[in-house]
Amino acid sequence: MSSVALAAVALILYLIAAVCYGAALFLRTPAALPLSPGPPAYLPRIGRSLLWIGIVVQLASIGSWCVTERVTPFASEYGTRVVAAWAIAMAFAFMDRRDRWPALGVTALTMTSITLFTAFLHANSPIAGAEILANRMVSAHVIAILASFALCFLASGCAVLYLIQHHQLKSHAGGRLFRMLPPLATLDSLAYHAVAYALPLLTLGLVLGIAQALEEPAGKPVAAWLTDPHTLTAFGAWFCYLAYLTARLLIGWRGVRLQYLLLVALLVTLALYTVPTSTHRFI
Amino acid sequence: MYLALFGVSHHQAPIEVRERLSFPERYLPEALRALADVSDVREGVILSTCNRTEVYAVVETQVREAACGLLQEYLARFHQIAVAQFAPYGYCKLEQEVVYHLLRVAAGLDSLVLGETQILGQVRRAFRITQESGTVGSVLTTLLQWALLTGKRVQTETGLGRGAFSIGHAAVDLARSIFDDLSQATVLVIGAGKMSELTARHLMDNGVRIVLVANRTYEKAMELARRFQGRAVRYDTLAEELVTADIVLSSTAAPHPVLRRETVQAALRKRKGRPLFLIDIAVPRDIEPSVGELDNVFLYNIDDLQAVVLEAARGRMAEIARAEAIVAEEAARFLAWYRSRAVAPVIAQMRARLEQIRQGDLQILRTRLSHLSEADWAAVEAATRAMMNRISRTAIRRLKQETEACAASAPVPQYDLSTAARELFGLQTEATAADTVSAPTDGTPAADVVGLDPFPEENSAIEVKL
Repeated sequence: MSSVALAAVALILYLIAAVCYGAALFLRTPAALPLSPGPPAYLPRIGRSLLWIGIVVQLASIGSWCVTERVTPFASEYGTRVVAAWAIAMAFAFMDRRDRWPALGVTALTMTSITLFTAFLHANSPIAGAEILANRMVSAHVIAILASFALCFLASGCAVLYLIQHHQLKSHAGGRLFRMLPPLATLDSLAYHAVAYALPLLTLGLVLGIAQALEEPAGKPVAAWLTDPHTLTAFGAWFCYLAYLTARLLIGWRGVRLQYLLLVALLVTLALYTVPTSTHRFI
Repeated sequence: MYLALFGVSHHQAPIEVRERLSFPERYLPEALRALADVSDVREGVILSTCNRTEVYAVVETQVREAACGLLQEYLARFHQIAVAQFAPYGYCKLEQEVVYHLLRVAAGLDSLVLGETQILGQVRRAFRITQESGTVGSVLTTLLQWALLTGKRVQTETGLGRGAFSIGHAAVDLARSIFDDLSQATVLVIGAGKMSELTARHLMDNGVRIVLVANRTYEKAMELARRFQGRAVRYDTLAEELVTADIVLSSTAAPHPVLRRETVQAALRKRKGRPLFLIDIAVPRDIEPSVGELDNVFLYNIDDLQAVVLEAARGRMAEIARAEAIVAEEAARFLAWYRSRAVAPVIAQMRARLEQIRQGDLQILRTRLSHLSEADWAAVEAATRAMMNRISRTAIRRLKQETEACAASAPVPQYDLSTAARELFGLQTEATAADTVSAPTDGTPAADVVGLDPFPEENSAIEVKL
């Protein structure tokens, strides 16, 4: 089975898992009831199993791609996105081991599926043959950055859920949606923990990137690497997450403001992949 | 033996009548012994709550008036009250009406507050006391177990038992949507009135441990704080306490707002965005409505909380049909077992009678046909057994069908097939053996327990070779 076919299987598994988590929410949260004691146990269990199978299948897909093409997955747009989706799925799988909220499952698996779907749109993207991509430090740099962004995406998902729940409580809306979401304190705590793990990884990724830039790879001077909009945006994202942690840990902020800060950080992170770059192109 | 019930409940009986007929728990053993002493009563259970007093019994008569009369007289004698004083407010039920009624009661479908779950605990307690008193036999034991099972099923499989039943419940539900661990939350109670106490009690029952009480009269605050094992705070330090509190519950009789926007805003600056849940159950309101506009503040007044209760009630209404379906299903299962108690001994006796006839005839044949080989005799044995099975199979099937039909709907016929079978086959008329049939508790169909289909299909296909 080809790498793309395996990734498609993984996508289907993630989508079914998302449906299971969603069904768990809808089936066991009758309208006008408070936080239910929990959805039917089997639905999230099935969702969780499918998630892990999807993770394994996707890993096989990435491995198969590397073996076939004899390059790192980051040598193509397709490979990078597949790894990014895999990282989000993994990050959620670990989060789901402790805090089992179906609403988070739906959010995280939707993010994973969308990222994987965008990878398919680049399934025929050219493969870069640049020597620099074979460097292990570059691979470690990309892996650290992707892992940290996966956690940051999950944190942003929690922030979005927080703001929705906050709005429901403020407007006294009640209703089904209100019952489905975790308590504000839980969402706040999950987002914080995700960022707390993400920031060191992002720092590591950036340090590895700087270290690599100092060697002036691909014949480009250090200044070109460090002043590249892509690099600057990455630093911007790093600064946002640092600001979030500082506000939470040192100033003691809680609540809505922090969630908006996470959304700003998400926008900066997304901008990272849209800004023009002269150094991070290898084709 | 027939199931009978007489009771009074909140549906018809005024509180004065319910009070006169209620059984305080300490008197229940004595009351149960007195019930067991009533002639014609074989088993008895009393369910006495603030909303109902019901006497369930297994009696000798199936005449409604007679059965009711027994139980009414018992109540009148025990409580020393004239039957006429309470009989018009009561209800009398017999056989499957009793079963449906008890199952509905246990499911919370007959409660004053639809779906409330307290009743299940009360039924459980009544069952325990009755068991300890030894006034319960196999029928009522099984019925009560079935009622508990039904109540539990309704609670777990429907939303009838969930949702806010009161202002206190609503406050707890909302608090749970804000804080993940109520045991870490601090509640500040402003006003030492009854409403504050009740709502705070709900919060404490759901995990809240730290309670601060503020009241204009400090002594009253101390008194309430002592009851909650909390701490009384001075009324003039409210602004400072707002910084540490997570939930503020206000119910004073003040004619003007106790918490103004500026006070809360000042506290919020020090709280650094930690959510603050304000519950204002006072009329006129204690907290300025504009406080609700502040970030990270969730202000709910009495109307908002009542809206949550009403919304939950509407949600429960939607669950009634599902709960009723479970009650009907469990009642049918119980009745199948209940009816099968009468049929099982009939089937056993009928089979024994036929077997007796068969063995007798075979003995006569053995003397007349002594030249037959053992193989031939085996064939004769098989043929006669198959014949016996064919004769009895239809009868047994009809008995089984009647049992199921009775369980499903119809009242017990005065002259049923079991009676007919007894008369036609000359079987014993007493059904004491029925009591030995135990109830299935694992979901096994009652028909299987009593062996209503005891003949394997292959017996009918034996070829007879002589």
